Amino acid sequence: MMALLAMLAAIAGFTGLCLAMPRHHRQIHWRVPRPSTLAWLRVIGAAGVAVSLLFCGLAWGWGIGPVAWLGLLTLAGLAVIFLLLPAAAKLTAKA
Amino acid sequence: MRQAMAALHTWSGLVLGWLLFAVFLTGTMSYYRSEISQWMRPELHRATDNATAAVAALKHLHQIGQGASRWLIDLPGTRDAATHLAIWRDPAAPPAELPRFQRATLDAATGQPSPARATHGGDFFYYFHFDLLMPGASGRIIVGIAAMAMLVSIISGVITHRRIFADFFTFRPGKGQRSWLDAHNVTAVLALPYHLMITYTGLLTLMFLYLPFGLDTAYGGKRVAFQAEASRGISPPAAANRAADLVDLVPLLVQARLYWQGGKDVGRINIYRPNDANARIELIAADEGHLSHYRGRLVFDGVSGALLETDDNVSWAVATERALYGLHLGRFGGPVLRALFFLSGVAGSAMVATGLVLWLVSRRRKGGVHVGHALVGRLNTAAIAGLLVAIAVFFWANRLLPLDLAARADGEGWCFFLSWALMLLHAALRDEAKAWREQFALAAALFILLPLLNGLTTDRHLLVSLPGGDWSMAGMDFGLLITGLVCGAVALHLQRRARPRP
Repeated sequence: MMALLAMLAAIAGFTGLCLAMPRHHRQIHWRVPRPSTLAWLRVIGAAGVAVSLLFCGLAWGWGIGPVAWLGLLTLAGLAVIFLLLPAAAKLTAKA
Repeated sequence: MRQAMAALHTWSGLVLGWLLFAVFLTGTMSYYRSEISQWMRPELHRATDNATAAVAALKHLHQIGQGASRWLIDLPGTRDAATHLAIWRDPAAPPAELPRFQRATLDAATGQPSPARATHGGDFFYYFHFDLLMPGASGRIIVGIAAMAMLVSIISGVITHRRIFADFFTFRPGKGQRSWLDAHNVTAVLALPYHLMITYTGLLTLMFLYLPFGLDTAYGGKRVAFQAEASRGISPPAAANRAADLVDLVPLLVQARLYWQGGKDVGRINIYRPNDANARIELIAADEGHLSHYRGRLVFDGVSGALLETDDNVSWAVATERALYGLHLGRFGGPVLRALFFLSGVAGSAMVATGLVLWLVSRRRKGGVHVGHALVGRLNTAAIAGLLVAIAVFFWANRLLPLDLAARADGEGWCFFLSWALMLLHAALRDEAKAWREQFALAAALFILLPLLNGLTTDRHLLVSLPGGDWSMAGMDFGLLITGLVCGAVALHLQRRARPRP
């Protein structure tokens, strides 16, 4: 359960960090928001990644949790890059 | 600086890249060594409890291991249904019927030699990934050089990569060289902590083979003394040459469990000088709750059963070495973490593979036909797609080779290497693009049909393993199927890309 929450937090966090970059807004055919919004997205993204570490610590303990966290981040990053972004780009392509 | 690093990265990566891909992929498979072994020994079923297995194994050792200097019993665990034995004879002792070293696999419940087919199981890939199945230390030294090159490649790659953060989420498909570079960067950067960790700790596991000089200076060449002091094993007692009966194991197992307060159970039993007055029994825990690969050990007097030595106060140096070794093995933290390690390993294999392809794509784009390019292209095909075919063939051989074949376990290995050599020949003779496509298609077909073959040749196919909750068996079948589907997707992608161009 905690592991699942950690995974979701990591994906959410990476999505936030990704959308804090103008080029990925363009990639999914969105208008690039104001710099202040981008800054907020960055803060929220970083918070998601940090919360994911917290859940990993709760799930595995603090000896193994950080190791699991790094593994989860890898998986979350691959999911954002190879699943979420292409899917979003496809959805918004015609709009 | 950056250009020098780029050149270093390019060449250290290319020269050993083919070997590194094989080491990375087979090492990644080794996270599921036990599951692979189970799948390849379909005759073995449920494990029994520890004490029964230990007593049964000891009885068998008394029959076959008289005159040995050391017995080792690996008890069945949650991931392996069989008991494994190893028997050593003192090299100085007069030659008896006993060989210097032998292994055996037992049916855990009966203690009789296992009815399972002869196979190396997951051990084949496990040993291949660090000694290439070569005699002596030569394979380990070659892999060590490759691992060193890997470490150099990783560090020089990070320095070369100008836009780690800006390109963190960037993948642009369908753009030729650009896409390969993106894929290489993404698989490298996202799993960077894993790549650094696994390469560094991999070198560390064999550090005394690569750098024995400090050790030999400090201990005057007495390796055993160092091992004992570093709590890597006990200093085996000299034989008293007086026969004495071995103490009953069951009370020791109970005592160990009480000592560890129920948190751990015994996984391995070492018996030094069995049936001698100086016998020692070492119990090692099988617990998976810690990073360290050495999970606590107790040493008992083998005759009186008195507790002689515990393992509670090791030095920081020893604890660090154990934690790093444990990180490499990834046996802690249960199935979710093991899956994460496995996926990170797959990312690493993909990183090496995309790097190899990228070398060629970037050079071909600059134009010119070079004999070196053709050579690298063919080696790439055989090293990447050909290895996948060879792995699938290894599993096919396990199910199809006759059970009474002489040296059957090695026969499976021969099938692996012969099919790999065949793929190299195919890549050498065929048009490169076609060779890629055909080898991936072949690997896909072989992997996808494996669960079916399992159903035709055993009674432990998915229709039985799924309802029966046999997750190890079902998981392997699904893993093989998914591997096949991924290979198939790659083959289809190559096919589609080839069509528009006449």
